[in-house]
Amino acid sequence: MSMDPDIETALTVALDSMSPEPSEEFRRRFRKLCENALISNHAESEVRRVLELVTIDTEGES
Amino acid sequence: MQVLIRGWSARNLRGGLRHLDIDLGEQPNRWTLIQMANGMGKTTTMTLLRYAFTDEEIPPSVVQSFRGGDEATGSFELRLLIDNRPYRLGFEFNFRDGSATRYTVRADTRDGGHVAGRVLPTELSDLLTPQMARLFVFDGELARAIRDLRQRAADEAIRSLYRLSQISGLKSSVDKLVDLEQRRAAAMTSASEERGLTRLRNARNEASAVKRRLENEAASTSTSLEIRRAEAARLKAAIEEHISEDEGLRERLRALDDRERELRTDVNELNVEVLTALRRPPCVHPRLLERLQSLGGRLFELKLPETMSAEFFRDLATRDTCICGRELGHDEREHIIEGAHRYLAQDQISIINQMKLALRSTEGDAQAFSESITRLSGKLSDRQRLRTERERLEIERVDQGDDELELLQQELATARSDIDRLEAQLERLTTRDSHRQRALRLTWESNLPQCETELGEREDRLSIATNTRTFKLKAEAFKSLIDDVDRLSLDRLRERVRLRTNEKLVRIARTERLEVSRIAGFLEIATPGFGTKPEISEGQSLSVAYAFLTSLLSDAPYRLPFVVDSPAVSLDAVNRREVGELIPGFFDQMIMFVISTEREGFAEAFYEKGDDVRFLTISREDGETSVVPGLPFFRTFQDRDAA
Repeated sequence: MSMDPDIETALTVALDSMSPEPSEEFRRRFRKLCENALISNHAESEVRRVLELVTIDTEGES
Repeated sequence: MQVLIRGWSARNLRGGLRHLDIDLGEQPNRWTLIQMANGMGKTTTMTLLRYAFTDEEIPPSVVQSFRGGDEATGSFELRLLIDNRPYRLGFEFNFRDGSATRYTVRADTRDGGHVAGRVLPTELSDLLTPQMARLFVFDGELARAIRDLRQRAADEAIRSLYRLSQISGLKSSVDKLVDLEQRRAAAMTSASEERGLTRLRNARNEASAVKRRLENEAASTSTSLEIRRAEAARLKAAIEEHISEDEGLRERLRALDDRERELRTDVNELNVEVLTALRRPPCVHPRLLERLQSLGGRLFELKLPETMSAEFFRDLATRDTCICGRELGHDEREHIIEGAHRYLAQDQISIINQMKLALRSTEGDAQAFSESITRLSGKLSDRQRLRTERERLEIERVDQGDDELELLQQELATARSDIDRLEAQLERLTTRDSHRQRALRLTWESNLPQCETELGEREDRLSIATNTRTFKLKAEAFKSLIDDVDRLSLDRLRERVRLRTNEKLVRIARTERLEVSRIAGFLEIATPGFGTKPEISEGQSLSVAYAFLTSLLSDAPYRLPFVVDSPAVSLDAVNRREVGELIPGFFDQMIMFVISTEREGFAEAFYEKGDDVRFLTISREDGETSVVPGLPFFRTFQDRDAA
């Protein structure tokens, strides 16, 4: 089942407003995760993989 | 995904549900109007339909309230078509203890179809919550709830149907992962906050500084040691040269050198002999030889290792039948292949058999090893005696008044003392021998290998804490993104539903124009051009609810039936006709329970729709309930209320 167009747009807007800018891989996997979550077809391991791809600003830490 | 209701049946329940079977056909009609008088079980049926669709527990008091007579048990079963596959969801009631036992019957399943509980496709199982059921098995209370400022029924309806809660539910998965990560890290360190990280970073820096200091000390000690050793060697050579100047002593010294050379050769040869023997355990001690031979004998007795090999099972998995004669299917083959690794491979068995043979035929002369050790020990004693003799020569010379030799000896003694001290110092700094470390009471601050271990552990703790913190920061960013998606989706869906609701309100609320001005958890109603309208009539409330629900349900990703009780009873004549004409067009299936007074204006709208409509009338004569199909009886039926 394809994603509702309004949810699809909301997802794109939310991803675009992320800072630092997320990687293409993250965008692709996050979108897929949401798609699967909407039909209750996602695994915890999938969440972990996407989570590890999140880019965060760690400047100033060493 | 499409869900259609094919019918339901009830046994021994109150009202007209003592013995009722409603059949809507294998492929249900788009619209069904069921006419039944008040008190015949409309409300009970609606309640049971909601319970059947969801997995909500039925309280014992509610079960007991369903009781229709003296019978101790009763039942209710709902028949569905889910994406054209038949399902039956049912309850067996026990009125004595108030229990309700659920079951599901599915066609074309390996388990025979009948299973305990509610078993639906996962996607649907999550969707059909009690809140959701109130939408499509329409609860009249909802008409008020969606306009109640204190409630969030409108938002909940949108969120349920578009499954936004599934996306926001990802946050709890993230929390679980963070918790798991923190538990793992807690085994090493409890610091994941910045203050804790600073403490760990300082600890790591401290160990790093100590390591640098110890490395410098070890390097400088090692250099000093080399210098002193060279100095000692030079002094030793000078002493020997000095002694050689004396004719008599020179001869004795040469004889000592010759004997020492011979001894060195003998010691080296014996060393090789002893080390070679040590590598062959049967030659070390008669007891060892006896035990090895005994082990070989036992392996033979017990026939170990097993002759069954992994290859046997891999070969078996390719055959049609097992060695016991039974047929092997795909699952059995998979199981055999999976278990084959537990057995030794052919080459491994061969090696172990060789070892077994070798053990059994083990031979060795332990006496020879003992004799070699004795000889080596003797040679080492001889070497010590030679050294003593050499020192005696030097003493003799000094006693004769050789000041220069005495001075050289003193310098050599100082050098040797320095060497001993420096060697001890270097050992303290560099020994890896744990026994020596304990004996010398060394710590990570005085011993380099211990310091390296300590530094490694501190770096691990810092790394884990840093990773945990990074993981937590990522989780926060991820959850914030999910919140954004949830909020933005809800905003967009609210607006879409609002606009479509207003399109319908233009048609079904004609007596007074109404519109939804805002969806903010609840529906805010306004009169166009006159602002918010907090009070509306019951009929208007119902019109708004229908317009909202049809906009919501007809456009959602799931095609659900719409079941409604007395849909037009509170609407005025104009709105009844509009509702009757407009609303049913939005659903694949609509089931309407009506009373005879709703025929006028509302049910009439369906009379001309032909085969798309099924008319059923439930009547009771002499305590017996009957279901009469067809329009003629439906349009002429006079119930007690109407009479």
